[in-house]
Amino acid sequence: MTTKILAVDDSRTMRAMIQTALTDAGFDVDLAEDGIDGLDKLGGSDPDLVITDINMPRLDGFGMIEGVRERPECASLPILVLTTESGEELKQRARTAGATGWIVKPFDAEKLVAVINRLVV
Amino acid sequence: MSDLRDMFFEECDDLLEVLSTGLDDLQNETSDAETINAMFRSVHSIKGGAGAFGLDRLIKFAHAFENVLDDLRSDKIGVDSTITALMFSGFDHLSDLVDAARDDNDLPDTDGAAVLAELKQTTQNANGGVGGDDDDANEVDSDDFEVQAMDFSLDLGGDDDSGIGDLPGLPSLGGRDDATEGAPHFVVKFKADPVLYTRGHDPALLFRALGEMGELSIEADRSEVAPLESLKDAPAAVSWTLTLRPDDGIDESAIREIFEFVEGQCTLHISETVVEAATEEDAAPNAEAPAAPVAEATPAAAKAAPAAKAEAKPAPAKAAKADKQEAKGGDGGKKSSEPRNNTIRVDLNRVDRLINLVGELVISEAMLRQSMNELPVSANSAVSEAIGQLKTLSGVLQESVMAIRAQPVRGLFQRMSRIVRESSRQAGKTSRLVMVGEATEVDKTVTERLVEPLTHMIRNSVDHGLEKAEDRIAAGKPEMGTIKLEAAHRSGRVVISLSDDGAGVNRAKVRQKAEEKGLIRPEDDLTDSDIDNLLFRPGFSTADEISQLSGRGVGMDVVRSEIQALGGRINLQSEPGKGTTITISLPLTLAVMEGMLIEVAGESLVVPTVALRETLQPGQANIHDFCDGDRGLSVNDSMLPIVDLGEALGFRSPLENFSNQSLLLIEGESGRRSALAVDGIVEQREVVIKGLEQNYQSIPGIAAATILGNGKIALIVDTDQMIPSPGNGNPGLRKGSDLAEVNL
Repeated sequence: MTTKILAVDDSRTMRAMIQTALTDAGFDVDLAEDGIDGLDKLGGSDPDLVITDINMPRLDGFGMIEGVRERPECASLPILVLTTESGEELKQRARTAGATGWIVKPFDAEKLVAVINRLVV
Repeated sequence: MSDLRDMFFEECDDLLEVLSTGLDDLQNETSDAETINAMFRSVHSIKGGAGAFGLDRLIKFAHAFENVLDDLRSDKIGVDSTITALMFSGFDHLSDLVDAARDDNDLPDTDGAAVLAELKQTTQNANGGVGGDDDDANEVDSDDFEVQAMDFSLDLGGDDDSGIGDLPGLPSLGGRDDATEGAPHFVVKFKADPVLYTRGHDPALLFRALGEMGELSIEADRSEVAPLESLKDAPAAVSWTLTLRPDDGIDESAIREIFEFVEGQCTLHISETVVEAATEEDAAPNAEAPAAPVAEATPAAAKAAPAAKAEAKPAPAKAAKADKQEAKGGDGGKKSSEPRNNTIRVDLNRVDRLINLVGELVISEAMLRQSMNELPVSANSAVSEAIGQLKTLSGVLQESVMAIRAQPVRGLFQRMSRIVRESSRQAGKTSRLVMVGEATEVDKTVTERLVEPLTHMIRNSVDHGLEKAEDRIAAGKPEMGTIKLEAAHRSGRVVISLSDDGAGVNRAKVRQKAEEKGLIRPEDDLTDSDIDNLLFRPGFSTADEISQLSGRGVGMDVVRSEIQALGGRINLQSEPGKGTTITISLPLTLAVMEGMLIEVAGESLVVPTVALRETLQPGQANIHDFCDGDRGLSVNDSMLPIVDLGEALGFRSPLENFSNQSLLLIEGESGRRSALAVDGIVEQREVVIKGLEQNYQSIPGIAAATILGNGKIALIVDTDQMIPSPGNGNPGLRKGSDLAEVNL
């Protein structure tokens, strides 16, 4: 079965980039525009991995991650943070919220795919 | 990639607009916490995209800008006039950088250097003299997609080519005796904390990644796993010893990177050793003693580790999800009440095609209606009702389609606020822009084509309109000048006005200049309004010295012709000492217009209703003959020139008398009037405008054409060219009148 990824980012440019990179690598990609949209789509999308930005309107990445982890069926869903932020404090917050990994933008498509392949069965 | 690039710059425009709105709110003290958050996100997103395209300067600047916004939102610095001014300069430079990047231009190095330094200084001051968080760490090489060396991330290094499809399975589980004698080995001791399983990690996958780095053997120590009756956190109770004989180029840091995502969520010990020595103090006991044979550990590795995942994942638990969503609603409740922006982005060409088709539909509908009218009355009673409905529907359809192209003037106005800032700075004056009615919607083409004329008008207002600070104070005005941009819908048109609270037009000076330049004769009798509107005449400039700002040889005449090309009118009103207001009135759409259908010399023509003031039937008019064949119409206290449309457009030779002619009183942008003599007035109707310039270039006296219900083409008269002005005649026309409107 194709690996399904839900990518959450408020920038449509970034969404398009993630989608292009991951679709080319053979993943199924669902997109959401912010944390609330991401949580809304989580059920229908049932992804194998979530990629999320941090700075987003309405509900930011931390809130999004917490929301995902609150769902029992998503307790062990890998969540990658993909952001331009690289501060240690923010990383620690993301980790506490339940993030699996942290990748700093700009991202290299191949390498992002490699990371994803290490996180999904 | 170029599609993505285009998308990025389009998004930048939107983000800059958000930023600009935020700045205005800051300045007007109508901002709240979310204002600064939104501004921060805008700059942040620009930085993010810029990183993807390797736009170094943009990244660097956005980063510094973002840091200051971050300090603002965390209340490390407060909003004051200095910060607001810095934000505005930052916004201007950010826009410049975006524009430069879009056009692949390089700005001079000095551009924005001062702003950048000031932004950095602000962050430094706010953070107790220490530079921003990760000031330069975040900056990227110019290569696209260069990945940063990062902590707490997986190994993204070098020759990793694990793409989907060639996923190696779990490493073969051999004993430690696989190890070649004397070769360096890494011994990794790993024990997961229970929390690791709640962060989406799976030790089996970590081991698989490790297995890709060389030859790996795995041993599991289950000694700490509790007996079944008190079993809890079983996977976390297993300790693992992994021995890796690495491939070339793999060092300890590469191995560490695999585990960096799980740092703090496990016990990890990595040591390098030569196998037969096995003298590592802590490697020995574990490796020897309770290590279960690997073959036995296999089921545990396969089952225990992914257990959490396997249990949770397939469970659909839809009900649980629904509950969760509701529960989450409390959390995000306040936020989700914000209006969602339900928009799609459509290629403009598609919209224009739709608009064109609807235009054709309206014409077909009119043709059908006309044919119906020619049928016997008995035949069309039922049909005419349907036709009536069709007319209503096509009208509504047309309006709706036009609305697609409508855009609020906000973006346009916001661009102007920058022009005000820049021209004030250059002119050494202080001024502010007040915007009213930014939500007013106008056709997209109009907002785009208004940029140039408005820019020029604003420069003029700041440069010539506003007085110098000392003069303002002397006149009892506030030192800071006010420029006001206002938009409104008024009787089917869009009215945009630009006013300043400056000195007003210096009429004596304007008149003197106009006489010097031969634009008017000294004896011409001009109203105040006439003099004010002389500013729109070609070649007119009152600036004694050509200023850097507006004296660029492009005058208000160019502004006026731009506005006219949009089907608009422009007018200037001025009150000495109080200020000047320039009003632009534009049609709501550029595609349809109200017109009066007339006949001249067997031709059908359309006169735009906007210019029409009155119609006079034959015999009603009080016509006076003058020498040279000129005729005048006396209306109330004025004598208006009569222009024979047939003659002016070259359809026929001059008429002997106008006794059988209908007269249309028209008024131009300047407020001057004349009377058009025509053979007959047919009806008032809506016409779809079809441009002629593409095929025939500009034709004197003709603005455009339209297709009538009967399929014939009618030319649309350019009324402004039919109004003679003092001393100017009508150079564009074959035969105009030498007469201009005079007050009796």
